[in-house]
Amino acid sequence: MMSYPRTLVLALASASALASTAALAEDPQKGGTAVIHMISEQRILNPALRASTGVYNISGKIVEPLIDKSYDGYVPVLATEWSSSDDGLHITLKLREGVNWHDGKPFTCDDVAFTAIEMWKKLLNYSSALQANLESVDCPDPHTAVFNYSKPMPIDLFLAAMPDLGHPMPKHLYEGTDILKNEHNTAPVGTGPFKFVEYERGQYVMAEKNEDYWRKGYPYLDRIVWRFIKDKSAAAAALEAGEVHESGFIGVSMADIERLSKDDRFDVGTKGYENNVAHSTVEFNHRNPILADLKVRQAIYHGLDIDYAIKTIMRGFAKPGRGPVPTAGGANYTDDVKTYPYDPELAKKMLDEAGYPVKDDGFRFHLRHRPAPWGEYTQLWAEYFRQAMAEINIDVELLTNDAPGFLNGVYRDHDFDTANGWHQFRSDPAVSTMVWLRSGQPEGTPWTNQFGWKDEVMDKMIDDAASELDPEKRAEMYHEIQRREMEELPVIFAIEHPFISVTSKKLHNHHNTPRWNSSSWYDLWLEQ
Amino acid sequence: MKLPIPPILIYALRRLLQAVPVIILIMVGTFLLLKLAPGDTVDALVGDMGGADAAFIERLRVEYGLDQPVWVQLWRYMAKLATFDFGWSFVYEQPVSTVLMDRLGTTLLLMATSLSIAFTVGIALGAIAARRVYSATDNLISTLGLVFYATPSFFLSLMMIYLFSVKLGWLPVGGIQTIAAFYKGWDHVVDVALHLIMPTAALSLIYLSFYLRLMRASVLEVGDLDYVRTARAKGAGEMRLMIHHIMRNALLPVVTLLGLQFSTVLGGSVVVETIFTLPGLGQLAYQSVVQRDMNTLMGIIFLCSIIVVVVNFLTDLLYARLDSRIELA
Amino acid sequence: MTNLDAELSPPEPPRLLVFWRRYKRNRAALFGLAIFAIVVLMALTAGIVDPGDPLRRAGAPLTPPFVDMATPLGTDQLGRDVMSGIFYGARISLLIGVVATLVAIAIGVVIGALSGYFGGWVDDVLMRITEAFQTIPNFVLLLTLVAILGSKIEWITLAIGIVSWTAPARMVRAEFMSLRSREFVDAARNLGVSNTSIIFREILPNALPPIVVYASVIMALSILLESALAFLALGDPNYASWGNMIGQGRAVLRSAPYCAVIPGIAIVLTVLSFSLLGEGLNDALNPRQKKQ
Repeated sequence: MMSYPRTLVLALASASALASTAALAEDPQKGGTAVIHMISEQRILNPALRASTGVYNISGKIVEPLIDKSYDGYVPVLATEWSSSDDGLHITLKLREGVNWHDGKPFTCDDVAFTAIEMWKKLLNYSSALQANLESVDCPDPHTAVFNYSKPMPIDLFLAAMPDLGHPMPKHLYEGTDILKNEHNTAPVGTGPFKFVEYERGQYVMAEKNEDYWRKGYPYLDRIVWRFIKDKSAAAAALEAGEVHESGFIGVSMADIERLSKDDRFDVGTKGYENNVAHSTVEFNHRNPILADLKVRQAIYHGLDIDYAIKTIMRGFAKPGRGPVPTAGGANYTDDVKTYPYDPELAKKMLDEAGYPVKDDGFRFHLRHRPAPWGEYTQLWAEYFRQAMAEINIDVELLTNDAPGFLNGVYRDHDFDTANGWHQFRSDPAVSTMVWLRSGQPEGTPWTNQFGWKDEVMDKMIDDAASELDPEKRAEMYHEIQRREMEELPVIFAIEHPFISVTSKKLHNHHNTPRWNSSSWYDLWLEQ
Repeated sequence: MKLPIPPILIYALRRLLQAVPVIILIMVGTFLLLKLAPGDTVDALVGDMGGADAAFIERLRVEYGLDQPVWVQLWRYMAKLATFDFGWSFVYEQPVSTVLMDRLGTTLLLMATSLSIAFTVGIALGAIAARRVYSATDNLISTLGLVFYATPSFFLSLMMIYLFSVKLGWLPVGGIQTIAAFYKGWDHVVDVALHLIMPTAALSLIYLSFYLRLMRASVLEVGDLDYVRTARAKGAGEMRLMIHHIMRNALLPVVTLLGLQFSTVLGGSVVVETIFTLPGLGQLAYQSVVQRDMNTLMGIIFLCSIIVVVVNFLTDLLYARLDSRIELA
Repeated sequence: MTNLDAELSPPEPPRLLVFWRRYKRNRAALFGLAIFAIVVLMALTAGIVDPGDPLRRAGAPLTPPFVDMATPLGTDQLGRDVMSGIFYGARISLLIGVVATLVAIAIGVVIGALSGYFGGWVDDVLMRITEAFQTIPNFVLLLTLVAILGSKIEWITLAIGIVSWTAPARMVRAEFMSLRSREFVDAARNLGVSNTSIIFREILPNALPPIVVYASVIMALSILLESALAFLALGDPNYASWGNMIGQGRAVLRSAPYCAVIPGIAIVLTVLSFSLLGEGLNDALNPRQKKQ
């Protein structure tokens, strides 16, 4: 059924799987400094104020979440047990005992309650919508926390959100201060296996081993250094020169990823990103009467050779998209949806039928397209879009701006016909891709439905699914949403791509959880 | 009773007074210009975070004072600047002065090495070329100069990284120091020097070719002047002639160029610092534009203006010195 | 180096011929002219060599050079023909070079002429503005302008012109200051000729030679500035430009170096030709290397 070339992906995935099993057989070595490439500087290192994988990549080693995700499901970190009341209004967590913050103070329910109300509900992007109905957090004893909601909170959704949006911060360092300007936002204090040492702006962040870590005998590494290297070719060179041990989130160009995947000094693969896949998109401005015509949108989809784009731009490290839920969505994903195989002749016929014949200038109509300035493959995808549209006689003009210019042009001024970019799926459709489809999103909010698309059926489906407590029914509802999205095509979720890491084989126990780059790396070790 | 004020001080004071309106012009102009750009720093921050809801975005805007009319923002900024308060960088969550001071050292080091190498090598090669004008040596030097001039610095940088770091493994790929090596004393100096070799080369070549060509031309010109002919006729040695009579006069236009080019070099370092991940002002300026980090960019421009004023003043002094010697000669 | 005889020897040949004789004496300048001619020729014949859109898919992606005769210099990541990119890129580079230079010189001449001719407070004000522009790092100003205007080729060209006018302005000012008190200007003034007319008819033609020479420098710098912008992914992706080709080619620099190296060489040669042209012009216009 799926015709994309995934042999490469499979080969690489199994290669890195083999490498990690081989590593397990060896005895871990203690000590050493792991150097990690970061493509962009992360200024705030407080994961309870900034929900982004870049922040977790650093802060995840210093500050721990209540619950993490492993390949076998959710695992306890700072919370050891969780349960929900039958009406879904109360969620009770048991907290780990004997855990200390890096400054020696004990970790208790007070910290959880403070962070949940003051940061997760009020200040944390994405989380403030998720926790909108959180009324209070009770602490019946220092190691029990009860989350009280005014509307039912599905425990599935709560659990799916916790690894990213559930980092408690030390109350004693934040209470009574201006939280947004607190000095610990850039010098975090947590309970994790590594303690923050220093942050040299523009250069690096350094963390060192926490001798008092609650998992006895861990971590193995003495130190972790995150180096900021903006230029992807320079990053590839640093990997090859042995100055950097790992580069995640496609930190080097796709061409270099393909090249390094054949180099036996490196493990290259998509393992460890099961929780962090993204969609490369084509977004329509439905205020444009041409694009409001469903037939035109479908024709455009037929005009895109997705397999070719996957092969040339993504070098085979991707799959064709099947709507707003990616394969990583687990039970919520279905591939039983309408598809639009590449067929330029059909596309042309559909455009003729829709009333857009080729005019004297050789084109049917003109589109002003805003490509997201996220570099490399996103830019190539935009340029491919222009190429492909020219083949079906649609003239596309690319309007390039920097990030604020792009976000404004699309999401505030709505000054575009089509746009492209990528959007990350955050483990549950309710907290991620649904914002692309739900109408009534406030103007100026990036990465939400600012496309002028309004569908009451879809709105109701989204709202119903979000408050459904039964996992099976919930999954079926998301399948329906996917089907409707693929019928109506408000947005083309063209390519589903995981992120890719290039890792030196000197590192062991790497990429062994589905959100590895965000995880604590307590068991990571370096061959010396 | 009047205290005699040294003329150099009067001169310095006059230059300073002249510089004030220019700097005010620059600051107001830059502020208004940046306000014309689509989007603000909140857009950039939210973009970095991977999105946020509308209430969150609104609160940040109020927090940063971006909800005020532009002229209010300008007035607040200029009032603060008048007391040399650069304000707060919302992108770095630090005072702008801290952000700038962190980066100034790297940039000054890079500029100083680049310009002095460009200057010394450039005038040496230019002088050699001019003394052997139209010979094979001259042709070689002149051609090299032109090729240096024509090669985009980023292109050269990429080629050097490939050759010296990846293939030969002699030089580090980027950064200003080996992180987590904790070098002290001389080891640290050597470490930093190694990190600066490629960026310095990439940044200096175009200026080297400027100085080379200018020097060659001015040596040729001066060599034809009467006093040099007289000196030559009196039997002055070639070396002495070069240093005492030709060089001094020929240096004048070169020194002028040096003063004028200081801010150009900072512009050129944007690309070089980006490729070599040097934590300098050039890269910071580029990031500040993209992030709409007004306070930081304004701080950089202000700092840069001060540096340019100072450097121009120093070149004027140098110029005067070179000139007076010529009068004596 | 003494062209004095040639200049004085009667009967005086036509000016253009004298100019050409002096120009061709510099062999490097002839070489520069030849490259320049080739670049112009490429720009003119781009539509004949490849009548289609240079950005379309012309072959299998990343075909190396000299393998497929349909794409003799190979194809890039999206299957675009490198040779056709080079030909069309010559158009864009020349266009950016010429237009940005015209913009810079136009601004420079107006400001420099007013400043040098009138002196006094006009000079003071205009020179403060010039100093302000010279003080801001030009590339940072360029980045800011592109951030404001967006990466359309028209705006990029205009922005490059805007950051490049200060040097010609100072040169024109210096020429005007030395020429404004000459006899022929006084004479014109006594005859009641208007200021505009004196500036543009009498003085400007005499002030132009050094500007013409300097134009080659601005042209060269414009092309380098555009390529640096494209390298930072701020070029206009709707046109095949050499800068864009390098910017995108560097992603495949290690596996398919020709994608970046071929346009890189094109830039080096073109900028080189401008510099050589400039030297030739300088020799031809200022036979005794007279300065100031």
